[in-house]
Amino acid sequence: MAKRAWRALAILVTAVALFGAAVLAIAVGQVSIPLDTTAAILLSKIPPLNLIFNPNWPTAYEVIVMDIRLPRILLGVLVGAALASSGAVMQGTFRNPLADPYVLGLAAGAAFGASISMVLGLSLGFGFAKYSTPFLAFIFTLLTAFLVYSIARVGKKVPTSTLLLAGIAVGTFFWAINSFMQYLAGEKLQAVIFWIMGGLWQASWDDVVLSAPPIILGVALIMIFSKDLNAMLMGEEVASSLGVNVEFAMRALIILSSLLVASAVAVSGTIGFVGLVIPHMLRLIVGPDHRILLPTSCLFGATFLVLADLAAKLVVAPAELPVGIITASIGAPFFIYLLRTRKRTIGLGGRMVS
Amino acid sequence: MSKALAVCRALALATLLMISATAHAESPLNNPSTSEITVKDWRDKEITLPEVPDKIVSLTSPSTIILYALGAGDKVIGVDKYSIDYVKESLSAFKGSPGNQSYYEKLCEEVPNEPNLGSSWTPSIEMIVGLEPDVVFMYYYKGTEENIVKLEERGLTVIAIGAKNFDDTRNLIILIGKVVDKESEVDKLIDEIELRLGKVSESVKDLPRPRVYHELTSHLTTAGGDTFTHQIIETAGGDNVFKNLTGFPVVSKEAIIKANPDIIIFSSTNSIAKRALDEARDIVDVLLEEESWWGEIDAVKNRRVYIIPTYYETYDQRFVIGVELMAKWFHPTVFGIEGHFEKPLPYIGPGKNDTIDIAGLILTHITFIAPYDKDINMTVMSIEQISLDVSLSPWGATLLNVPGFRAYTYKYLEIRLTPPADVSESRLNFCVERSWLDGYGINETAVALFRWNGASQSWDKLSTNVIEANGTHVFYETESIGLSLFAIAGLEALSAPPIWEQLWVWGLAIAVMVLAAVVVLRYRVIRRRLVVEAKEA
Repeated sequence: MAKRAWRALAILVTAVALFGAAVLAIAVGQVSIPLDTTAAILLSKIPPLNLIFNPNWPTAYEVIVMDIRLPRILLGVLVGAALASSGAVMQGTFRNPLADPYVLGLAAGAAFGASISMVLGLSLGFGFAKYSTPFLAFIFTLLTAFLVYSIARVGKKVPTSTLLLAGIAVGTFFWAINSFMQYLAGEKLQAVIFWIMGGLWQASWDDVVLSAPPIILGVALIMIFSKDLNAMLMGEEVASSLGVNVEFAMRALIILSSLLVASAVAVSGTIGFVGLVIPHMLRLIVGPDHRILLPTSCLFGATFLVLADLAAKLVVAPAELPVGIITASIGAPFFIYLLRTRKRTIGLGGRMVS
Repeated sequence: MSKALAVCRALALATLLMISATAHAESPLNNPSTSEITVKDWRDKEITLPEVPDKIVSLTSPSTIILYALGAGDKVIGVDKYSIDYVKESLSAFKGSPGNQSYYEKLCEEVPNEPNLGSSWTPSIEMIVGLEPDVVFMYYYKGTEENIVKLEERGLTVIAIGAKNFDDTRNLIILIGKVVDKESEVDKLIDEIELRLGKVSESVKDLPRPRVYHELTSHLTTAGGDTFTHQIIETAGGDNVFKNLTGFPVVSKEAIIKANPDIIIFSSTNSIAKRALDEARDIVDVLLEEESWWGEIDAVKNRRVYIIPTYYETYDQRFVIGVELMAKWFHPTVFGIEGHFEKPLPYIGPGKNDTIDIAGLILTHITFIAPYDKDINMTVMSIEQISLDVSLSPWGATLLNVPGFRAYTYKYLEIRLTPPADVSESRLNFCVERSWLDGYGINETAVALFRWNGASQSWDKLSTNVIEANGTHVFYETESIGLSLFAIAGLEALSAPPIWEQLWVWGLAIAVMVLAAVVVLRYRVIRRRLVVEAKEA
């Protein structure tokens, strides 16, 4: 009973933090819009309330709040949630504290897809040209996951250590090709590098609409496997004896995680550090029970990315810094601080990688 | 006897020796190493060449282009990959460039066949050494210093150049001119550059500077205040809104809205610009389609968004064309006028008409018909031929756009009577170059005169007839009630997109394929199950 209450409290706290971060992000920016105007603009979009508010603000403000800031915040929430949940799942599945969402070589595959579009100019026809890069990045992320999975599969079983090694091998292979692509890039080199660093400065409603369904679906479905993940922490044999269908669970989790990563990188590039550090941070605070860990990682990942993106907007204003730089600079020291103050080890509450 | 002979021989020998000695002594005085050339490169290093080099390797595109522009193209034995890329753009990229056009033709013909030696950052050292050049031109940047040293260690002479601003380009022209001994060509080239730049700077000196946002190839990437591109904008009379940043930063959308530029320029390699060019549409329409928030900016509201070909912003002398083009956009009334004709009208009695011949414009003559109850008297007609590149907002109009058709505009004209006089009708005769018609594949009869209708904010098509045609020109006649702004354009009807470009076909095809895949997989599973059941039975 207390467990349930504790769980609910933890989720509530992170949700409130997320809301606060979102409010901060929508209120602050290059153009200073008074807070009450921002609130009025937002509230006036909700059907029953739009009768109360008289639009007496310049259209520029409305465009900034609704078309520039709001989609960017929503995208930060979606991508942060996707990466953090995926990271937690990868760490649980592989029982390896160094696992992150891109552990199956997905970052390399995604970058390859994006490079094909940006450097070779391969584009979708029929008016979809601007979706070429997200589409190719998405497809290649999934293809890479499939490739790694196929390489590591032995009959019906997929040993985790083989998966990790296959991920490293495939990732290295794709990074080699990416280096070649960068050599060919010429004047597009900066665009490619910025994509690999990851950023949300081009966020638009299209990106939100495209990535929301797979991410929300993926995160929701992952929560179903919370108990299975808890069991798998103690090893595959123990988990099987506890009634967990380990093969099915692993396959499903890898598919869902890859889907989340693919959707996230398609719209924001390969943002690093969120998937690695956030689950560990939360684990040090709420413990290794995935029933609390997954939802709170998801919400806190979203909060973290929204705040990091806000910093990316402001640090070198009016220029933009790729958010991947901020996540690395903030995430690492804060993580070290948590390690030092909490005397728990960086284990996973169960058995370490075998 | 033998003694006398001996003395004679000695004298002869001595004289010979003296002559040869003085001859040797004279030669340094007569020819004091005039064949030696000494220049100072961007490393502040003195480079001495024993004589005018015969074999030159050029690992930078500005040096390649300048070498050819000065007529020294024959000496070039190898170039870098960027030179080849730039020249592959075709000769039209060099149209209007300062210098001799035939030299540019040679450049475009020969350079693609020159050996590709890599680049200043990744030179093929073996190949370069193997070619045994007398001098090598390379960029002097952090990433190329090592390569310069490597080449010099192998005994090659390297001239290291920088390319950051107009002065660098000028100094490079002078340096190369000295190296290849073409200083007369240098003078001609530099004079032309200074003349053309001077025309622009003089005129923009006292004009207000419009605020300009220049987006480069990547989205939201612009040029800071220390770049070559920035200098082009400023020289053309504009004010770069992001001049306080350095390098090529990525800026936020909010910052652009906040800056609210009067003019936006896109590089032709930007994806939005490319889309507009491919679809032959106004870039403002494409821009608003892609991302509607651009509509909040003055430049977009006034439709002052332009596309600049990237080769006008390179580090060679073509930057002059870039400056002139931008000047036309920034100050259309000053630079956008291609031709001007002014003449006081003769007295035209009520109901009468009179024809005035026009020289120097595409309008050949114009006939005014006075109203039946009034005469036309004491008024001056002025005609301005307006360039295609400029915005028509000073004239209160937007560029010609006919829905359902692709419009190829030939010229814009403004015809004014000062003081304004009532004209019942005017007949205009103009001619169009056949080469323009052929170039766009437009039928003679598809050309018409359009008049800007300020009341409806649109262009009215006037009935236009062909009255004469010869090998080089086609002559038209048209009638108009009212004057002011006209456009001459050829129209091409747009056809419906072919079926394979329609979305629903693809949606259907994908759905069918997915269903087929599902059916096939299901079939295989069922088949396997049947086999297993058969085995168990």
